[in-house]
Amino acid sequence: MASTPTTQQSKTDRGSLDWLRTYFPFLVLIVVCIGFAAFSDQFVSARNFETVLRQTAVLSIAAMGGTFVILMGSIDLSVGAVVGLSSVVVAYFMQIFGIVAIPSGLIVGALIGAAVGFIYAKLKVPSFIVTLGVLVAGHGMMLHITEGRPIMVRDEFLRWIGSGSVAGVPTIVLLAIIAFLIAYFIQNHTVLGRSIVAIGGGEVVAQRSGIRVDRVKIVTFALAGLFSGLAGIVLVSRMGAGSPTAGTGLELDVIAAVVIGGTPLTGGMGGVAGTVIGALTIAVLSNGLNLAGVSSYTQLIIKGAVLIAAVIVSIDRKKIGIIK
Amino acid sequence: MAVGADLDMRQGVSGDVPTVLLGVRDLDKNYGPIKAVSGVSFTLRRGEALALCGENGAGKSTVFKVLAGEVGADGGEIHIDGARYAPSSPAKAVSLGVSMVHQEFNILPNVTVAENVFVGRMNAFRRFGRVDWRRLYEEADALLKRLRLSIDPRQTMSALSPSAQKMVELARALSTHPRVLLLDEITASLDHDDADTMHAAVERLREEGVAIVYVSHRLQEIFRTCETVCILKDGAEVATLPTAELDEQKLSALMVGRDLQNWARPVATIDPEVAFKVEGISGEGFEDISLEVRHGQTVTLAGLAGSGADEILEAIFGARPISRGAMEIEGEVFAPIDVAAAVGKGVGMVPKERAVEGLIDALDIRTNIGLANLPNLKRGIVLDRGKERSLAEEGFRTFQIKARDASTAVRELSGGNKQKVLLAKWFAIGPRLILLNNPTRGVDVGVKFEIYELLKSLREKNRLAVLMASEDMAEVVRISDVVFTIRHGRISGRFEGAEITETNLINAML
Repeated sequence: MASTPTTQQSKTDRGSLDWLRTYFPFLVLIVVCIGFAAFSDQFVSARNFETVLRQTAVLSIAAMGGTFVILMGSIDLSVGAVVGLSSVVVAYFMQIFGIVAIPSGLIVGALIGAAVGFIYAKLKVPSFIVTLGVLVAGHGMMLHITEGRPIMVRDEFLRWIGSGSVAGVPTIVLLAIIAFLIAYFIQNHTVLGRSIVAIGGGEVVAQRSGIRVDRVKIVTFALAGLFSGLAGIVLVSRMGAGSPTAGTGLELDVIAAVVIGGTPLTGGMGGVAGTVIGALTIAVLSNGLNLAGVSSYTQLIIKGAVLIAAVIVSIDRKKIGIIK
Repeated sequence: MAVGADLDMRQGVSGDVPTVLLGVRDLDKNYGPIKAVSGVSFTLRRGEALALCGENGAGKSTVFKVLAGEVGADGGEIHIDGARYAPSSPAKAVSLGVSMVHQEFNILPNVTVAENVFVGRMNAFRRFGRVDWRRLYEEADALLKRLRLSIDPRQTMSALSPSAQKMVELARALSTHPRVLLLDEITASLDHDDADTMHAAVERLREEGVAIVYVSHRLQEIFRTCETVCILKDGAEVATLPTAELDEQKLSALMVGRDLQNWARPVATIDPEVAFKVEGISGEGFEDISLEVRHGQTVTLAGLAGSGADEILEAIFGARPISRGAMEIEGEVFAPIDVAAAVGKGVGMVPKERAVEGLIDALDIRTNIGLANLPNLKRGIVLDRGKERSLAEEGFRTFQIKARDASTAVRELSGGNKQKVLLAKWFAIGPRLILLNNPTRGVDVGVKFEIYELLKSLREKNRLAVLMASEDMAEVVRISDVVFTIRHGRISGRFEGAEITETNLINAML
């Protein structure tokens, strides 16, 4: 039977709405900045700007991997645990081997990610469950390795990563920028990036187009683990120690950054550029509220409300049939 | 019978109130510039069964949608029992005495039969704030008995066979006390015996005075069930005749029109060498299938829904395991372990379920076309975006896709244009074999012929080997060089050239 042709909507109308949705995360960030600038003199200063960027580094690096996972339509609750575990492993091995042990964080992250991807893709366990298990188990492992006490690391190179700078740019911020550029390249210029978006947009279509979906899932989770590993290295360098509670709750900030950045949890659209904006929004929010003297209890309430509000405005409900 | 606000109690213009139950006069329905239905008229008496006949896209479903209140008419009048009938919603239509059973299954698999019968109306069984299960089961049982069915209303729906589930849908329609019942291809997924039971149930309803409007592609059924046939073609009424004055051949001739005779099959240009060969493959849903496709040839698997033709194509495409048998593509062994392997060997498939398997709505035309071509667009791990763009633009031109440009989201396209994008996606891989599963399903009549022409010219130009599966007999007759009919997962007949007629095919399929 003849199908119903799409009704012609006014193009300008739809165009401006789409434009608003695309740039909405950015607008929120600007509005938040202007708001705080009006409230506090300290907010607009080079020093504070640097502080915000430093505070964003760990979150935004970890959120690059988180974006790929969510873009694919999966979820990763293990980010905090993997970041924490990497930082603790780096600290532990650095006590023995020195700076050559730094890449161990990447290896730990990638291995855990690959294992998660394998269990998810091949054994067909939902990503929510696999990563929830890793979240719990990961924190347990951290407590084992640290025996419940921070592992202090005194190393010049690590200190340089954590608080040094290159030509005026803090090293960790530089690392975050490099991580973003790599993630952006993967998303837009590689076959893997296309495959991830395709799986998020329609897994069956992707599979029926000749994409090896299982392989892409495993690689994507391994990649996410790699980013978490890097975030772990940055974390241990900032704190100068591997803390048994490092990274706790980071997975929720990652999800918030991704979603505020315009990638829906159903996947298939959005991307890493938005996530950077989302991560900055979260950092600016904490920073500004701190400067304004808002109690940390109230801050949590505000953060939660901003997350929900961002999604209410940015999603296009007409395109989404069922919300779970 | 509840009388809704839409029922205007003034007398109908016709004045023949006592005999005519349903009167449709000069019905028009347009979708944008396309006239889906124009000037269709028919009448229906109490207890009468009328068949709407026509090819896919002839306008049958649109007439049903108007009658069921799913869409509004753009012109013409409908009267029921002399009163003007213009339902604003399906719920309104039901309250005015018009119920419909859809071709697709509309069931809740995890609850009981009785709940499926009274779905949406469970409030009627409230007693002290709870569901009165006993009364619910009793009433469901009474309805099922009325249809002479032995189905336990307490059973879970998913435990029933597909045909029994369809019967429950019929009981659901019946529970609303319809005066007119619209049956859309209700036997499409049933086998012969089940179809008989369904017919007995329908007969029973007619005896009770319910008028039936019937759509089925099984012509034999129409002759068995209906007194009158209203034949539609391209949205217009060709003729309305008593079944007694027709036979199957006359009916299909009227349905298809004259252009069938004028369609020349380019038999002469088929290459001698075999492009694709299947030897005795078996798997879940099909058994011992052997066939050959030559370059420049279109071979079709013709079968009713559920015949196994879909499964055969899927197995060839690597999406389903093959337990026995062998395949060869251009002389080399072809045994794909998955879809990616089949695509790697140059096999493409335009799937039946476009929305689920074919295209990603949220992505643009370019990316969608690129998806099947990722292995060719790869330089190391890097995606060659320039090549992706040129590939998409070529497809965009070849298939005359109507959209602003290749960066338009697929979601914004009409069904016909989506189908063209899907074809472009698979032709872009430069296929050695292309599998088409119902390639014009859900496509407007106009675009349908455009697609036939495109397929024909591509086949000529690229010496393409095409293996098609179709449930649309008019289509099969039109574009196939060789037809294998499929019944219960086996080949039940082979037809070539002039032997390919709808009657021959349908006889071999049933």
